[in-house]
Amino acid sequence: MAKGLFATYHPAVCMLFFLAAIGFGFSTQHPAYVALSCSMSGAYLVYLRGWRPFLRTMGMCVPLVVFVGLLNSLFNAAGATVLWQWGPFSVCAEGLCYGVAMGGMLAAVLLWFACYNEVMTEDKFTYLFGRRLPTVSLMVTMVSRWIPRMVSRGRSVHDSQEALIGGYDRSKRGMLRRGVRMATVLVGLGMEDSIQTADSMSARGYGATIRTSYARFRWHARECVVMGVLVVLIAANAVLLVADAGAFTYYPRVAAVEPSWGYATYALMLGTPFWVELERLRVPWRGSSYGKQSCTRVGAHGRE
Amino acid sequence: MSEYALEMRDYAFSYGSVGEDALRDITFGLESGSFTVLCGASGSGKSTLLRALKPELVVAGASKGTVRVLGDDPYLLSPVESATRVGFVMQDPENQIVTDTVWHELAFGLESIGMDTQTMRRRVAETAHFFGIGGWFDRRTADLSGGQKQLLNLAAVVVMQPAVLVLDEPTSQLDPIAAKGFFDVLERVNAELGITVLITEHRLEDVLPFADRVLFLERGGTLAYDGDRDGFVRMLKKDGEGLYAALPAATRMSILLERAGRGPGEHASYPVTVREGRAYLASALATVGAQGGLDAEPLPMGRTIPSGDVVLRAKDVWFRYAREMPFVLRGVDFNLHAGRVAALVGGNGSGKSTLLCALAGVRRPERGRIVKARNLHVALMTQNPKALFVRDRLVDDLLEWSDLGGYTLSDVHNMLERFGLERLGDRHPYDLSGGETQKAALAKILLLKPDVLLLDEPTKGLDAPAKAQVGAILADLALREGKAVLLTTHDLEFVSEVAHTCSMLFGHEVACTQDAHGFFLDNLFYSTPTARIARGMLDGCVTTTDVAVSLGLGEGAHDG
Repeated sequence: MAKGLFATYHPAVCMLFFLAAIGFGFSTQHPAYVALSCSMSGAYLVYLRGWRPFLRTMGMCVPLVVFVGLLNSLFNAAGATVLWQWGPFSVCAEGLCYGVAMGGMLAAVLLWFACYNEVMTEDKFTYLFGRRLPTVSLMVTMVSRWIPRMVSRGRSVHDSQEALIGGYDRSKRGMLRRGVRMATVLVGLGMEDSIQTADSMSARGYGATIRTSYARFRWHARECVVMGVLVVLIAANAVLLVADAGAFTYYPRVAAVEPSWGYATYALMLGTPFWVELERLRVPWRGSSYGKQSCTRVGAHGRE
Repeated sequence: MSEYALEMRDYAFSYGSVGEDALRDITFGLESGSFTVLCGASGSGKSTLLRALKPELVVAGASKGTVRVLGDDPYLLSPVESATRVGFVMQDPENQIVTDTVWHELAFGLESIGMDTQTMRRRVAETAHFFGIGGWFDRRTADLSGGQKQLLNLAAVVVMQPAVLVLDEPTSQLDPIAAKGFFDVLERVNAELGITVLITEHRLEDVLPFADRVLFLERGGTLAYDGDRDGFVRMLKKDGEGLYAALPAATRMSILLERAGRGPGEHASYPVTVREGRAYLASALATVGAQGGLDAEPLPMGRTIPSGDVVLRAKDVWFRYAREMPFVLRGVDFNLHAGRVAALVGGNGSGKSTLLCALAGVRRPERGRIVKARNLHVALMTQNPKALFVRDRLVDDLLEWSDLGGYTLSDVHNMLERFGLERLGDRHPYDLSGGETQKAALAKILLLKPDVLLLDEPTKGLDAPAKAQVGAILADLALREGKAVLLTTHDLEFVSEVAHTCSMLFGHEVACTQDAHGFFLDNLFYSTPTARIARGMLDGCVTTTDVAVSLGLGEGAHDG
């Protein structure tokens, strides 16, 4: 999968990044920061999954921004610049701006979560929390095994039921009754399945002793570097972004967006998945004594 | 310290504290590194016996006698010891998988016994390598094929380095090619790792060649045979509780030749593989001139198909599950005739089930159409017949659709009687055996009086006697009641015995449709083992029955 280098980093690094991106994303409606968060999360999603899934997610996000913007401007009349007045309702520009910023903030968080889903697969999550909470993490894995299984079971139950008795009663009530029947069958089958799964678990020693966790991820020097940079950036943002966000007001008038170093540190932090790619540029054989030789050989084979 | 890897002495078991013993006087010992097949009709207590070897899985009930694994009583071992010493693989590939990814499934057992990370890494790595799992190590378990799932289940048990491997019908839910692959790996586990194997299986065709020991559990729970393969075959010839039909085709053919005076003799071995079968047949036929009496009558190279009207037709049907997915059916034309049993064969994912669903009207083709006569009632039985049942008693369940189908309790009883299920009316439908479930599901469908029966793998998981029964019922439905029957299956021998026509799906199209007999004669690879053995020597033989007819041994010769 072409997921980029960032996804190959130790889950703790990825988790810290997403916690920071989502946490800071939620904490401010400052237009510049919201715009940065939106564009970075969008860019990362395109990078991870390509344009098409991105546009599909955007299809959800844009209406959200519009909806929140309109809703806020309708119910929050604290602004000074009145655009429309209609009876007791007044729509003011400030309310609209605030609403759009809020919608943008929600959209950015949604996009970050979409990225999170791509990068932080189930196994990484369980790896991070599994050793502390073996039972919980096992439950998470089992549920994630169980869902696709139930879906395919459901399809087969639905097919056989529709083929046999679907033709008899096409009314709403008939369909409802068949739905209830299908749920009953699924519960029965599910219990039957889970008895066997439980057998399979205990046959392989489940509950025999304290569980350990299989570790698939290792901590390298590069993890230290990226983690360090990330921590510094987060600290910087905790100062700069929070100060900027606190100083910015929408009411009664939208304040002017002042230039700030915070934009740069925020962009750098959110850009972590991009700047870690710079490692590709590093020449892998630099400094080694047989550099020249391997250079020509790699050159011959390695170019595509 | 005993020299056996696995031993049972005077073992008896009963489900309740009172009542008859389900297992009695079980005494046997398996040498370390042996490969043993445990045979027996369904309901003889094979699973109960196997589960008694593993304290975690033992069936609730009362037991007497001794069980020893590597000389120790498994019931006194520590939980970790007990989990690792005996590995257990069960029937259903799906339900045994606990986690969502392949690597995690492999690690699951080791995590459970608290192994440290470094050792675990190494164990998982070498096991994945041994089983050739490396390529799909990162996959999600939900995306694996049935064969891969069962291989994973085996690997996830072997990774714990058990001394003994116990397998309860591990390939009954797999198609024949996946089953072959599974046995090949199992044989490697036995031969290269020296793990003792005890396996039950009703498809002896594939497993018997590997067995160096056979145990036979009689109905009533006593061990009726314990010895080598040839002795087992000799015993089955006399009294096999219908298991004779489960023997490999080569063995059955050699028994027929034996009847014609061409047996392997008292001490020679029976052939079990196609290659051995061909050599045996060739030498048996070569002696004809010298001894006389064995006339092989060539049979016609095809059979007539009963005539019948087209009742259901697929016309240029194209189908895919979603727009971004490839087509599963590409311009399929298919006619279904009344009064015939038609079979649909083809590899996994060739679209057999999808075509059935399209014909049944539950999947709308994207292009093309399904033409059916007005008021024609089409019934579909999907792969898991258990999905048909909702009630707690079989009789109640069969009555579920009485208002829709316009039938009464007496119809239900008649139907149960027809399928030989009359004693099971009070059972819970989930407590029936594989064959009984299949028959009960058929009964439930037939109560709705359909004109067309579409059956998705009705022979899956059935033992030989149950399969013969289902086959007879289907033939009866088509020939006597004029119903149109279409079934998909991987069991080519079943097709050759039951179906009138056979169609092969390949490349998402119907590659050919022919009378079933001719289909297997014209195919070289995709054919029954008997046809492959007899090719070029006995013309027109597809089943052992054909061989019997060809050798002039009469029809009844095949049922032992």
